[in-house]
Amino acid sequence: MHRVAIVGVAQTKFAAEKIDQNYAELAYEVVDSLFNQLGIGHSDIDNIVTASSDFWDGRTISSMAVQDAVGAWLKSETKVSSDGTLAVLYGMMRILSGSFGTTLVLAHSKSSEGNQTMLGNAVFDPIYQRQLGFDLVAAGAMQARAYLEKYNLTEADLAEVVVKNLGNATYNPNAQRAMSITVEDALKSNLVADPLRELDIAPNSDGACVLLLAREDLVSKFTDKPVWLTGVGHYQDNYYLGDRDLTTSKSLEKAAAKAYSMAGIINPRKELNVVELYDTFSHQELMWSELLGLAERGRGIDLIRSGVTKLGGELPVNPSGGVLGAHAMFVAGLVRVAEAALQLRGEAGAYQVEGASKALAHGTVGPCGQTHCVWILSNEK
Amino acid sequence: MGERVAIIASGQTNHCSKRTDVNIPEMIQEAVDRALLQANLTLDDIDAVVIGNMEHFEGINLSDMWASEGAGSVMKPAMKIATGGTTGASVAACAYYHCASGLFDTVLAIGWEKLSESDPTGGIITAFDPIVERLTLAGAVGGLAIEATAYMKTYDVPEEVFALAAVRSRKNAKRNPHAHLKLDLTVQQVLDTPYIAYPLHYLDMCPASDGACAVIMASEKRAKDLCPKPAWIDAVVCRHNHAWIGDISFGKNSTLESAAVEAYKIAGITNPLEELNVIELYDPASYTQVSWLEYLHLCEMGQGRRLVEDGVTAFEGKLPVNPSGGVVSTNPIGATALIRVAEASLQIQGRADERQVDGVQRAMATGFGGSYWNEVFILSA
Amino acid sequence: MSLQPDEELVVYKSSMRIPYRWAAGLIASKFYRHIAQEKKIYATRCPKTQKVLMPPRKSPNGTEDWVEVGPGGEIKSFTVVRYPVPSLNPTTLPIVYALIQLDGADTAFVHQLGEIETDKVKTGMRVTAVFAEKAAGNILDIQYFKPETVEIV
Repeated sequence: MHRVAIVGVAQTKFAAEKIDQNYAELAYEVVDSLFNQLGIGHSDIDNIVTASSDFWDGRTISSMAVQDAVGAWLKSETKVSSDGTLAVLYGMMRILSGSFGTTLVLAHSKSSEGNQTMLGNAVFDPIYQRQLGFDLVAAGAMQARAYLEKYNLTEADLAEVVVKNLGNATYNPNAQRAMSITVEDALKSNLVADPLRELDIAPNSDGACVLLLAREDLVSKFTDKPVWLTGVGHYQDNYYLGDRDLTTSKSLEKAAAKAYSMAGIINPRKELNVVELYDTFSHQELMWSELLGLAERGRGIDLIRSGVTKLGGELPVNPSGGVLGAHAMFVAGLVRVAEAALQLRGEAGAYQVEGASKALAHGTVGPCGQTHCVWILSNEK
Repeated sequence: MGERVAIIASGQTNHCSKRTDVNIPEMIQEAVDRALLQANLTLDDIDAVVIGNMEHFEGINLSDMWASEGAGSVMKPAMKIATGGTTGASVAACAYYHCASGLFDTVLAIGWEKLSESDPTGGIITAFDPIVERLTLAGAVGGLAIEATAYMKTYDVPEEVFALAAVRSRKNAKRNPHAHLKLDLTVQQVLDTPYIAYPLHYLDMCPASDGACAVIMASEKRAKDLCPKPAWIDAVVCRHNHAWIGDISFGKNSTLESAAVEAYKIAGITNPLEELNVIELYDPASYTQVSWLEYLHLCEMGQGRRLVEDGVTAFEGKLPVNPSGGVVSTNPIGATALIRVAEASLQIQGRADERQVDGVQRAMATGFGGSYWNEVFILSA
Repeated sequence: MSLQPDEELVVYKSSMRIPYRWAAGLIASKFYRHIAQEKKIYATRCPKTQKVLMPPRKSPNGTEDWVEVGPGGEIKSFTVVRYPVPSLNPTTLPIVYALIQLDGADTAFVHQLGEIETDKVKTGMRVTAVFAEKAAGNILDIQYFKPETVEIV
């Protein structure tokens, strides 16, 4: 089997409202930036996988708008209508199939252009749930409470996640929400959906991100710092929230087990050097860390208290600030992969994890994390 | 090259204008159950699921989440693909790459739509740019009508030829228990229906249907183990177009031609009229069964009418087009292009019952959507 | 290209208005019929796991085993939503959403709470269904859940 590497990444700055660019222009910005970095053009791209949402874009066939930006004319382009981490997987499959040497993977979204409560409500089925009016935030809040109560954790524990990640975001020029604050400050932010406060919930962002994947024999044409995709797992859970135990996630456990097995990782806590998680809500960084095997169940908080996952710690989690720092739908997972790649290339600037050689990037989609995708990346062949 | 991949089974609902007896996941489950039954497999044998539809047609955001209830994707790797009219073809391509990559052995591809639950044109109109194009374009029919008008003028082809194709398709549909419009019509009856958009009459156009289609693909070894007569996938080619409708040439379906030429090259076909035994063409309107044959290089430009009028593409002809009745007989949009692939595989497998064409060794299936983009499959025995 | 001081960016405001009509199917229709006619909640037993699923689901072989559940149940988790919910019109804030496991069911489902102070809601609390006066064939035919009255001696 051929191996596949990330040979270049680019992203926009993320902001609450980018009214000076439409979303095709966000796509142009990142593709242009990537091409300039690598000194390449559209002729170097064999095929394209994009990720975007018809609902969040307010447009049926949301990928139509970015066809020119990605240079799709007379090429194979397709759209994953899900998180960017899954678009990376499909992009890798297309190379492994032998049909293509390079895949451009793009995700775009403008949260500012829709009403997030209505968009979130539309995820719930109109037969048994939608008329209740609840959305992805209310669902996340019920998960947060179930998790906190099960493990005797408090809102102050959630605030520690917020303080760490928004603090990390101050070093990331692309982050939207960056703050140097204390736990007391975080606990003063407005209650939105108990027990979640404004700062516990990822902001809504506009932005785009792009990666270039290349087959092993083509990698040197693009970069001398390839980041190899060494393991991946993705699984979908039950739909109805009450069918699941919201304090855990079987789909994430299975996705992680598969990715670790493929990458030959036995002790992720010791073998990984940096982790970028998709934490739409503060409690999810704790939950996801545990389910990825970085801490005992209910003890994800210890990783923060002991400083293991802080910037400069033994295993930094979300050194970029994570999704609490910027959250563009479907883009955020691709950004996790891009941030992991930057770390492994030694290009993460002020939030660089020294000497990182193995990274985990995670994406999720659906209410309370119905689908998860876990990636293991390495800068060693 | 990657792993060789085959279709081992498929299942479809009995497509019709309105399925009020089932909700969305229930309808999907019907197709999945039928595919599993034909393959003599259970869900436990399925390694991964690829699903697709167009969200605005049912108003379900992240529609793969609720659909998981019927798709059998719970606790399995699953991803959603959505590319407009091509969705079903893109889903099939994604399932193909799942297997061809060597990452998965048995993959379930699902396409579905319940067009009775909304106003399809209201959904389609939102495919166009909201600021420049949406205010002036009128859904999918307009573009097709422009192409048909240009074709009639360029090659001096009368509406009667299109109507003949429409008559044949609805007659073929009578052989297909899954088809929606099964009608005995005359050319005059088609011409007597009102214009939807000149030169396309009501009965020249595809209907709006409720339905789902499921296809099971497998890697070479697994396919040989599981199926006495797999339909091998020789070529999967996709060609995309520009973002802006004004940039698209309505005088030439370049993406279909480019995709077909590449597919022939990959499959080693030099004379498609002689070497193909059946075509399942994505025909959103009757005229495409005349003009698009030319882009498939079955005849010279402007000579498509000869293939139709001489009966070459009729059920009993040398190269039957759409023995299933095609899209003008059945159109649950997200399933439509997957139905083309499924029908082509049934022909190869000798499982097409009343609509079986004798001695099919090679079949073609196409998908059409978005801003005039196309996907082409070539299958062989 | 940049904006001159006297120039403004265009932000075109619109909304998508697509009418929808969602088929509930045989199973959900029966569920709502029980509520409308008898003010009773029925769930289905999964033939594979024997779990009683709420909301009810179609059985693969079409022979659903219906089980009456509730109207009482237990709160498994909840949240107090303090932001406007556009699809509920009018919205009276705050709204309490809860995951409620009805007596006799093995899975919880989401609904709203009423007749309770938001700071009195606790996980594990017993609640009971309050049915809407007029059934419309959707989940709000159960208007909300309220605390089960306990006799104080």
